[in-house]
Amino acid sequence: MKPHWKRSILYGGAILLSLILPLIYPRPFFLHVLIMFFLYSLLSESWNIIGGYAGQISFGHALYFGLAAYVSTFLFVRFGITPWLGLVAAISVASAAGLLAGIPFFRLRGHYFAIGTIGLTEAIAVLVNEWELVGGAVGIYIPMLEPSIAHFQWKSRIPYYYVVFGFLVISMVIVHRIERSRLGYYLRAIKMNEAAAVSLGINPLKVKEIAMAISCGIAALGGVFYAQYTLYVAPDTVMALQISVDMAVITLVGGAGTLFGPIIGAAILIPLAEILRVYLGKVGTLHIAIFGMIVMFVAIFQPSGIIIYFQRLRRWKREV
Amino acid sequence: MAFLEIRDLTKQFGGLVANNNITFDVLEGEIIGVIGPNGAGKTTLFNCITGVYRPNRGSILFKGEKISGLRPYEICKYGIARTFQLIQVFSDMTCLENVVVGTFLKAKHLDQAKERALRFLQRLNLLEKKDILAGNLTLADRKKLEVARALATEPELLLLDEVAGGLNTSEVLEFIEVVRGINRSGITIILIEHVMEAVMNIAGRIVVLDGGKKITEGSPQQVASDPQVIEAYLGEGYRA
Repeated sequence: MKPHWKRSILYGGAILLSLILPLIYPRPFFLHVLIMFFLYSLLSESWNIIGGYAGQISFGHALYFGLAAYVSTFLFVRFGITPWLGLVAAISVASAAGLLAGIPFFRLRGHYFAIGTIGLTEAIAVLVNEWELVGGAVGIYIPMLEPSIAHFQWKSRIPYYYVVFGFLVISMVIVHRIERSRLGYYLRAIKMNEAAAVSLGINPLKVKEIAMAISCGIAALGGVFYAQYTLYVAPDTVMALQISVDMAVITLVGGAGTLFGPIIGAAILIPLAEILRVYLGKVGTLHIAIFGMIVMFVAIFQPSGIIIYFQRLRRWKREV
Repeated sequence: MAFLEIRDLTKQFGGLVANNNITFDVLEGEIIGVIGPNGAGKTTLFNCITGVYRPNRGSILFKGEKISGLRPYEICKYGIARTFQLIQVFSDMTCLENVVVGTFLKAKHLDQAKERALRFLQRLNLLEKKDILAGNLTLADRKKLEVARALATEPELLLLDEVAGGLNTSEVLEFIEVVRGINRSGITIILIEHVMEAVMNIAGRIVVLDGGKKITEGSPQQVASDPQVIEAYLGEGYRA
């Protein structure tokens, strides 16, 4: 059998399994864990474009997630605009914000870029915290309305599950397309050697900006979903540094700059975090300590991410 | 109007004048060598032509258009490509992927970019190494890969910075053939070489730099017997 045949069957099987899973095992906590897994896979794919493929380590991606959550929520609560239209507005705002942030930050390198992105996100979170129009520190509660597609609200977790799964599939298709496009090759070239990339006709600022706009647009999908799933936005829930760090950690643990790295990272870390939160909730934030241990082990033993083991397995199978 | 005109080019780094009032022409279709001892300003000259440095004074015209002051990626689009003295391959990409980055300047999609990249790899005898990571190649192969990658942008003018440096005799001979072949396909070449013998073989004309200034230019024979060149390379005591 040709390899791409096998791959199609594998992907088709994975999608099919994901589609029927909530029907055969609709336990709310189980669905919640899967929803968070899909959400963080999506966010990490977004981060992966800038942090993985382009090698620009951002610790501020919660900003675009949070902005998007605020935009759709504000439009919905204030003007009754359906979150689906809000999603379009949110993607535009997040991408535009990413482009603006990129103008100064993509001139910075390494640690300075990372610090700049943290600073901006924290600054915006403080502003939102003080801005009464958008609820200030209290945030905005989304009122429970009649469950419907237009309201982006449902009683059961199953529709949320399918929505976030759809968003994840869209984001993975985009990342896959980038990987095989001029943009993908240019991003990797810039990451590895900017001087050589520039000598081959690549304008690094332009390429990074295009990637940033796409990355922030995908983060916006997650932001709008999260707002509708939890029916609440506040600076310290949607613009928290922890969210930015999680996106980076999941991608780096799984394998930065690969399509499936973020999925592998999220598959390991998110169920672990959710389960530990339930069983160790009384011990406070112990799950973060366990997170930290995993990150340390990956950093020491396999800095390229866990995906390396899968790639080795595949190569080994091919050779046998 | 010459193909490439360098006029009164001056580049200073603080008090150090790395290129001092350099003027010469490059003609379409020729192989021109730029030689000189260490620190003569050869690589600075390349960096000025390719836009890495902005000259303090003077100008560079390519086919009559002023290119000095443009960014390197803009100059590449004019049809000027280069290799680096210190190898700058994309180490974690395969040979094929390295060259694909180059062909993507003109290619529309990945299949086309790959198909063209394979042709450039073949031209540099790297075809069977296409799936090897660039970081795992020998020095000679990495140098060839850089040439393939530069050619992949389909330049009219190719700048080679010490391609023969660090290679053994048979590798140098292979490279000379490669450079001749590239030139025969219609690409003008400027060659920086520290080793005079390598450049004497293939360059039609040679420009000699010393201490940031052009001291002479002419055919390899003229240059080799020029007392100023001998002095620059060997010191005053060796003057005949």
